Amino acid sequence: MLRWFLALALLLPAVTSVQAADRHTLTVGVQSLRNTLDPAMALANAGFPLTNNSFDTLIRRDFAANEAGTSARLAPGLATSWRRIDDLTLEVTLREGVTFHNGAALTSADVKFTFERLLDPDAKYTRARFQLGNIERIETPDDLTVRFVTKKPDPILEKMLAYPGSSIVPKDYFEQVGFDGFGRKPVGAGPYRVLEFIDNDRVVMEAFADYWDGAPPAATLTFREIPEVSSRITALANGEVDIINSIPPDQLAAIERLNCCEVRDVLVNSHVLNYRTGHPAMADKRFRQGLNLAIDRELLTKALWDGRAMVTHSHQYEEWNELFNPARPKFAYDPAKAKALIEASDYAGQKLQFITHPVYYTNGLTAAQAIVEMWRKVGVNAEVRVDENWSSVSQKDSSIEVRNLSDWLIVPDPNATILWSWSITALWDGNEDFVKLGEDAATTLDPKLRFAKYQKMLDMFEDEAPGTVLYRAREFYGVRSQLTWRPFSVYMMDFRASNLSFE
Amino acid sequence: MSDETLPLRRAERPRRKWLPALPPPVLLAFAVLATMLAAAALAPLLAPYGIAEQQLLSRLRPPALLGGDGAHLLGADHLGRDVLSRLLHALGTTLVIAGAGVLIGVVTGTIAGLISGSAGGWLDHVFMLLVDAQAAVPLTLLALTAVALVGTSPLVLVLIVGIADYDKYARVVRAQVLTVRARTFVEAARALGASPLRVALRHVLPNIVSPLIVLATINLSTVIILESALSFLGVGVQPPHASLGLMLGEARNHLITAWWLAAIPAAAIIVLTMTTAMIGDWLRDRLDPNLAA
Repeated sequence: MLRWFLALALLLPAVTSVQAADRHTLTVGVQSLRNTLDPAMALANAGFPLTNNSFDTLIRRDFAANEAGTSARLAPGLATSWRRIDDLTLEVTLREGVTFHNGAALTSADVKFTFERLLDPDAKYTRARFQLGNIERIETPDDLTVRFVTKKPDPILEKMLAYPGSSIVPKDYFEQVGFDGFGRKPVGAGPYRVLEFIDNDRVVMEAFADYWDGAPPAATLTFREIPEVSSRITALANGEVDIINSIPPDQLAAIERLNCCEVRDVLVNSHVLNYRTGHPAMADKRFRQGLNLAIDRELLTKALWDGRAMVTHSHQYEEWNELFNPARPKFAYDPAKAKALIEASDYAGQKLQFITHPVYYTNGLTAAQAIVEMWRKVGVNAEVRVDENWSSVSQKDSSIEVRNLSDWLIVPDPNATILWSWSITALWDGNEDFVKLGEDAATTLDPKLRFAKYQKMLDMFEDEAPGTVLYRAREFYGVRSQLTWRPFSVYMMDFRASNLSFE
Repeated sequence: MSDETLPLRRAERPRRKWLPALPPPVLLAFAVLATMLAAAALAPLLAPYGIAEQQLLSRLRPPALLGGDGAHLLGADHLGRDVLSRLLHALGTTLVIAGAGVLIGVVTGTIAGLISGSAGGWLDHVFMLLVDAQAAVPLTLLALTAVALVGTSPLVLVLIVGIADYDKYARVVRAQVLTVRARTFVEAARALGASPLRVALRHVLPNIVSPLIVLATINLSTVIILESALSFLGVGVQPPHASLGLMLGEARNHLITAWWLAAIPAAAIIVLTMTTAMIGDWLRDRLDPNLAA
């Protein structure tokens, strides 16, 4: 008997390794990773593709529902159905038999905990709390039913439940490891389980066999941080990685020349500029309006993006459907008027620092250098400062007057794009009226009234000019040709069975 | 020897002694270096475009010989700036920074070496300790630390590049001082009551000029590389100004599709360092009495 066991023990590793060889590994070279994998903390372009593959939300945004991969349609996720009971209450029915990576069953208690951990005023989830702050309480009549009760009527609650920040986390495990522990060793109910997470280097995940929506196609899924474009392309060419992201349009030829691979692309969010309105040099709104009029966005789109980025109709997106106003004009370019405004303003030739990360945004540094040159032409003394820690530095260091950023489109609603972009991630002092109007618009159920409120907010935004929108960017990926996979909007890389197969 | 023949002999002597000894490669090196210096000095006149002048629609245009057009003979970079114009300016920046750096190195190194060699005793020990300490710290690390502490500016860059090399001069000067000091004419001067300062300046210094010139010329190439390395790393010359290393650094992301952007400044760096190194080698052969024997 013992002999049999021994033989079996010897055979077992051989059997599993054969299976592993049969199954596929997928390695993705990305320009940047995050330092936490808590889905409500990793709220950035670089964080969404990571948490999207290890977590699930109650409702899912079905990007694939349109040809462009930008659809805003909602589909069942961890919830099978949802309905409005009254203006303030949304009842959600959970999917039966779903388990987390650690084997624990997903119940309404986990859902309640997920949101209560964000809404706790002492918790570090400042952004997520602002974004989900309309939720008053969560009721759990039974294990599979959750009722969200909001303070005011909430027209976008369903969309918010599809937001990666609302990904469901396991109550018991989270309480056991705590906030910091969870960010390093997360457990979710998504298709891939995080095995290893090394800062600035890689995140390794393995397929979660019990995933409710079909066995994940990749046995191992690795995200590797490769900041430089040339290094990413080289890694793709020599087979180290299967997919790379953030390819500038002028490098596409390098990928098309490779026999192994091809370029796939999708429209993503917009690149914006933030002005520190509280800074003495920038305090005059005429000066900031001048800065905006001096930027030739069409030229940037044509020269830097090969015409494949889009100049937007003010800060709006078609994904908003009835809340989108196509009649609103695009941002204007008028250097003569810009010069006049700047000369009339209080600006006295102070040097403006424009801070940018070297690689985080595609064409970010190049655009910064081009814009600074456009500003010089209208009499503005500006210079580019490159900093790897640009996001935290620019928030704290008051000597930074201008920075680049991308806007919020992860929730396809003006509340995210207009309100969040120009409050939680802006450098706009004295925007209280704007925020108040935004909070009012976000709790207005009638679409026509909401539409009018957002148009008014855009008027305020254009007049106060706390920044501007450059263009709606396109994200280009280098992909091994035999992979059946397509990228989705807002940097989503979905490696679920519905969107990935190896030929 | 009559007075009439003397001027003739004087005129003949250098030609016989120097010109035949100038091998063609060295002659070429001199010619190339002179051309580069002239081009750098006349950059504002020669450059067809401004250093920061962008024509975004011409970005990544290849050089004329690789399918580009006459508007940008060496092509245009990722912002549509003319590569030829930037190269001319970059040459000037790199040469000025390297030249000033070498000068600082020579001056500080010579002073340190003179004091150390002349004074001897504990002062000598302290100076040599400093020199040894410098040799133990990697140069790039030192430069990065300095930039992190005080920020980037052309002055800081020149100082870093200058101080980076002073130890070499200090060591050579000190050794020379020790040798010269032991010679009889110096002893005679001292016996006549000359102060140590007078001995150092009047008797020792003129005797160490030739090794210093040789060392400085050879080091010029090292300093050019150091400046380029620092600018490549982003802590040297800041955009929109140009130096050869900065141009190389900016071209990094376009290596695969627009390789010439990196190849052009790289070629300039190679030519510049090779010519100065060749001239330095040749000067050493000419001036070093030990090698002449």
